[in-house]
Amino acid sequence: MLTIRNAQMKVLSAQQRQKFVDAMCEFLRLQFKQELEGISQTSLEGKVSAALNNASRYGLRSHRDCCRYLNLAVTYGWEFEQLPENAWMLEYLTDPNAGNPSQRLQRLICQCIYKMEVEENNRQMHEAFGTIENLDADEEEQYDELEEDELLIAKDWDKPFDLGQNP
Amino acid sequence: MTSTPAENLKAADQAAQSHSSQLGVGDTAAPCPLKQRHALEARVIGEDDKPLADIGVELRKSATEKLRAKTDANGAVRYDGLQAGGYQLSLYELDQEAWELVNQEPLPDALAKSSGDASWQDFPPPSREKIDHLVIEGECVTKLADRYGFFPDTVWDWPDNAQLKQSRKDMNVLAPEDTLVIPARRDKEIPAQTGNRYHLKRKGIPAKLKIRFLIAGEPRDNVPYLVSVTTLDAQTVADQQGMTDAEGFVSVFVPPNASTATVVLDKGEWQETYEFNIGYIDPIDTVRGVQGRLRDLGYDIENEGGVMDESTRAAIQLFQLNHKLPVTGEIDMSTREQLKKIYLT
Repeated sequence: MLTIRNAQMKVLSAQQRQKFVDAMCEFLRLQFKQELEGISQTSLEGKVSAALNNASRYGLRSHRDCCRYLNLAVTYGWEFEQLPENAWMLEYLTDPNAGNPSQRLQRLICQCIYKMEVEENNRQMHEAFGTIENLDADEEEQYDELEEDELLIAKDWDKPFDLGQNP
Repeated sequence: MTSTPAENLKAADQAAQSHSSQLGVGDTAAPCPLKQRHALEARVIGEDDKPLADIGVELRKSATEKLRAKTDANGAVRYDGLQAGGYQLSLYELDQEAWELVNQEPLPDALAKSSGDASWQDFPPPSREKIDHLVIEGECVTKLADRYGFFPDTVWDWPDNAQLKQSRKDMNVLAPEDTLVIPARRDKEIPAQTGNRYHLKRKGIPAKLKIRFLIAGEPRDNVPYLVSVTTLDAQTVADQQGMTDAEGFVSVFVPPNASTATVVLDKGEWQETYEFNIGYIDPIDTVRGVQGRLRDLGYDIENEGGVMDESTRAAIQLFQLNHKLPVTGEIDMSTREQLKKIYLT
C-alpha cells in the first residue's frame, strides 16, 4: 500500500500551487500584455500569489474563479476590493444573499463590464451631442501616451522605493 | 483601433472561462462525471422590458432548504447542481403584487446540464411587518414602494393610506412628515422545473419621468434631447436620447431612487441644459409647492422656504397676468387650479 505522509502532501501541494501561480502569470501576460509589460516575473508571481490568498478569503477556490478574480485584479488594482471607491465590489464578493462564491464573482464581473460599457456609451453620446469635446485622432494619441506613462510610473513595482536615505 | 476597457475585460473573462477548470487549486479529485446534475435560470425585467439588477431570487426545495441569489446586470440568476425535478421560485424580497411570471422557456441542452451539488441553506424569512413611514423631503410613493418591495399602486391604494391619498391626490407628491403606511409584505412563489428559464417582471419599476418643454406657452416639439440621471446610491445609469414629442415632452424611464435628471435640449448654439431634482416638489396646497412649480415654469422665486414673500407674490401676479386670471398676488383657488393644469401635478 502506498502511504503519503503529511510532509509529502505539503510539498506536493506547494508544488501544485507554484505550478498554478506560474500558469496564472502566463495567462495574465497573454491577456494583459500592455498592462504587465513593465513587471518582472518574480514581482508578478508575488502579486498573483497574494491575490490568490485574497480570492480564497471570498471562497473562490476553483481554477476558473481564481483566474476570473485575477482578471479583475489586473484591471482594477491588485487589492481592488479594498479601495474605498470600490466598496461596492467588496459587498458583491461577500453578500450572503447573493449565492455561492462563484455566483457572487459572476455577478461582480457582469456588473464591472456593464458599468464600463455604460460609461463608454454615455461618453460617446455626450460627444455626439456636443456636451463634451470630441478628441481628434492626434489629441487622442497624445492622451493615450500620457496615460501609458502614468501607468508605467504607477506600476513600476520592481524598483525599490526611494525614501531619500540612499546617497 | 484600440479596444475599450470593457472589451479587454470581457475577452480576458471569456478566456478564463474557456481555459481553466472548475477544480479547486491543489485538488486532486474531480466530481464524479456520472452524477448528472441540472440547472435552472431566471431573468428579471422591469416595466421597460430591460434587465433589472440586484433583485433577490430564491429557489426553495423544502421549508428549510433554500438557495438565494441576486440578479446580475443582465437581470439573470442561475442555479447549478440541482437534482432533476420541481422547486418553488420567488422574488422573496417583493410583495406578491410587485412581480409576475411573463413566460418560461426550456434551456438549451448545454446550459441545462450542470455538475456538483447545490448548497442548500435555511435562510430566515424577510420581515413582514406593517410600517408607518414618516416621509422626508425627496420621497414619494414610487421611491418608497421600491425600497420596501411593493408595486406603487398597492401602497397608494392600501386602505390605511386612503386619507393621505384624498389629501395629496398624486402619489409622487408627498409632503415632509406625511405618514405613509407600508403594508405587511405577502409572499408568492411559482412552481419551477429544472432545465427551464423563467422570465419574471418587476412591476412598477423603473418609473416614467415626463418633462414638458414650452416656449412662450407653445410646446417645443421635435427637439433632440439627452437625459442623464443620478441616483441616491450613485448607480451607473445609461443616458437616454430622443426627440421631444408633439406636446413638447421628454419621456424617459428612470430608476425609482433617481435623485436628479439633467436634460440637455437641442444641439449646437441653441443647446440648453436643465437640472431637475426628482421627487422634491411639495403638494400644491402648500406655499412651497406653489413656489417650486412657479420656479420650474421659469418664474423668478428668490426663496422657496414656504414663506409668502415679495418675490413669490410678484411671481404669482405675473403668472395670473399670463393666464388671464384676476391679478391678486394671492394663491387663490383659480390660480392653484391653473398652476396644476400647466404643471400637470
